[in-house]
Amino acid sequence: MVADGVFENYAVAGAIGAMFYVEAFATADIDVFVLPSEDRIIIELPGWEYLKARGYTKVEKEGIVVEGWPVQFLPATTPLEREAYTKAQTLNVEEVPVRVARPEHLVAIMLKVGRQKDIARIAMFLSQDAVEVSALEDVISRHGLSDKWLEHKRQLFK
Amino acid sequence: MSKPIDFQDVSRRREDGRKIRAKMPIAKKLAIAEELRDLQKALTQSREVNRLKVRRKREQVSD
Repeated sequence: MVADGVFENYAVAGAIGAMFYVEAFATADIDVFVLPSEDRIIIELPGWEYLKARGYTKVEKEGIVVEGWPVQFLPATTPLEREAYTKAQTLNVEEVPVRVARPEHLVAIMLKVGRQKDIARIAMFLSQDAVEVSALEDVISRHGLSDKWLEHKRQLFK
Repeated sequence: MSKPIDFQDVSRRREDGRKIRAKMPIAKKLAIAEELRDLQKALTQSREVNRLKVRRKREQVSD
């Protein structure tokens, strides 16, 4: 889709992004950050027309089903999401290069969203040595999440 | 007499196992995620039945 000009670039995030760094766990969809188009209001799912033309017409959990997975193309709108998108790294899945958000960005986003499952996943990153704490704390402080992080650490070591 | 279970050791070994599994090739992890996703789908109905049962019970208690 990048080669065909649908998106300028992309970054795998969410649970599947996390799985590049921690052990596998259950998830129902694939989240992919893309840059929102600035010249028009988004009135349809990003990537929908392109994928529909290629036979992917099923929508599930707000995602377009591709090879059994609902894929959600999420416009990276906040500064944190944009940084996650911009600084994503290329990793290989069986020789196929894939752009994946860095662990420190994934954890910072989880901290910001703060659902129970996000908190559980942060614990996975920390206990499985999957995120460099200094890099994480740098992202956290630059994006105004220090209070949340302190609160999280307080809960964790209570 | 059987030895008492050392829960700290059990949890330490579990954590070690998780760290090892975290380093598995991503293709393998995605295959596991796919199996888990299919399992989740297969369990949807029975989970829903259980959820309704729990909700009904809760409502009965609060009545």
